[in-house]
Amino acid sequence: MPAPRMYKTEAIVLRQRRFGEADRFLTVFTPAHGKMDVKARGVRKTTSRMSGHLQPLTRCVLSLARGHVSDVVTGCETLESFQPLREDLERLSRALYAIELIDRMVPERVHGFPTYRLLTETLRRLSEAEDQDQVLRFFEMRLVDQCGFRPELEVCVGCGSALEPVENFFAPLSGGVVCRGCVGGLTGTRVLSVNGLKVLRLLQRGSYNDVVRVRMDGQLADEVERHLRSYIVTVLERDVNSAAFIERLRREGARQAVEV
Amino acid sequence: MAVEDQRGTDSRDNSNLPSTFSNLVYLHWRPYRNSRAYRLASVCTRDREVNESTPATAAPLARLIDELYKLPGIGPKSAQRLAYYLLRMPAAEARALASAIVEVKERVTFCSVCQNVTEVDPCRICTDGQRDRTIICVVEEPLDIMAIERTHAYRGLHHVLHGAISPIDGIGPEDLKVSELLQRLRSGEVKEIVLATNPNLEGEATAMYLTRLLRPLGVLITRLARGLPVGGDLEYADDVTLARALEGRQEMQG
Repeated sequence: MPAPRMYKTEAIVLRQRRFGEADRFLTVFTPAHGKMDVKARGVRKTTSRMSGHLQPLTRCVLSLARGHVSDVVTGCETLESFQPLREDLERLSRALYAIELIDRMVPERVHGFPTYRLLTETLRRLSEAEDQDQVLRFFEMRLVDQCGFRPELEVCVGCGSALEPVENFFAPLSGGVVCRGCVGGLTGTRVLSVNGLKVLRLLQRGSYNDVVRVRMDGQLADEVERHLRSYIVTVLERDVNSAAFIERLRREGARQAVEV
Repeated sequence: MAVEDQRGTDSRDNSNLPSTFSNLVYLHWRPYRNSRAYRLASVCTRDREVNESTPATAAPLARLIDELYKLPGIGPKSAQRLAYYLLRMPAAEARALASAIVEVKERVTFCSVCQNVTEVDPCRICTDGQRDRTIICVVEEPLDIMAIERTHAYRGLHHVLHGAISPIDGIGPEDLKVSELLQRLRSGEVKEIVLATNPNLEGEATAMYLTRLLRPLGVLITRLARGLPVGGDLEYADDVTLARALEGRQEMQG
């Protein structure tokens, strides 16, 4: 049976770019069809009935018609607009980071039910959580896992022996943790503290509820963030753009706190 | 000797490759404009089109088609149609168009105060004595100023950011004319800033960022209202817009 000409799907809008006079190309992430580009006609006019439902960071139901190059949006309705994310720059910058990671990591047109659920839950958590960075760490670890880049945290990737509870090294290029004996000659490695390894393991194996129960001090949170970031940059083979904006907000926030 | 031989065959191979490749690309695959692949492919296809049409088309005409084709929204057929239209145009009109294009490139610059496009620096709005100098309307693009001026409802000054914050695309505050705006506020003359960035994600992010940056300076910061568009249907309004419209409801006059 040929695929139907019209179909409906749930989707999260990742990003949009202008096209033609009043059209937009949207990158959306759907559970059954994965990430794909769709065309939305006339949504840049103020009288458009759809534009409000197609903003990035919206979970909505899309009616799509199959087109030659990309499918065309014929109707849509918002399910969740994650309003708190849009009203707070801190939350917004983190949500954009999550969206960018999905956009870069997930292949096109490959179904991704678990990843879709992960993204939905992450956006909800970012709307509510006190510590949004912790939400992001959990999201990052789960995402690399689901994309097939699970880092090795149990045994040394050099010699294969179980890791001792001492200071080890995180080696993104080798895909996991190496012990003191194997670290020589590897590039891009960073010291991984005992507590850092514990947190990374918890992020990999524990549920979200386990993770939020852990209170990390600033230094430990910083270490975990740096390790995960270096791993993601290694996997993507490029920088994550929105990370720079989070950094900037942090720097300026700190400066303002000093002035006050 | 052997090395030279090898080099010889290599260069022959390379010269054959692009033309075969371009045929393939042209027949089976049209990549999006602005994509890298498009630019690479279009180098081949454009040469081919021009070369092919040379017997039928005069060289200057082919060149004009080629230049028009570079404009946004103009495909190969539109380019040809426009070129033939220009060909039949009275010479005076064609010359007027050509000089308008040249003049725009030579005389229009950015205003050093408000960053709007202008032919005199500072621009006419910035030097207009009739305008309220205590209020600045901050917009993303010069086109937005035109839209606001059309309303005849605003008599203050403007400031163009030339973009909006878009972290995913790597566009941060340092890529916008933010420091120029701060510079303007330093004199203390300005009492109110109207944030008129677009009501989409990037525009909102920019507005929030500017609010945070400008709040310590003690100026009044306002944002354009969001609500229902004229000619729109209530039942099609999205939740966010409708909620804002309810929040900002106003007493009926008269």
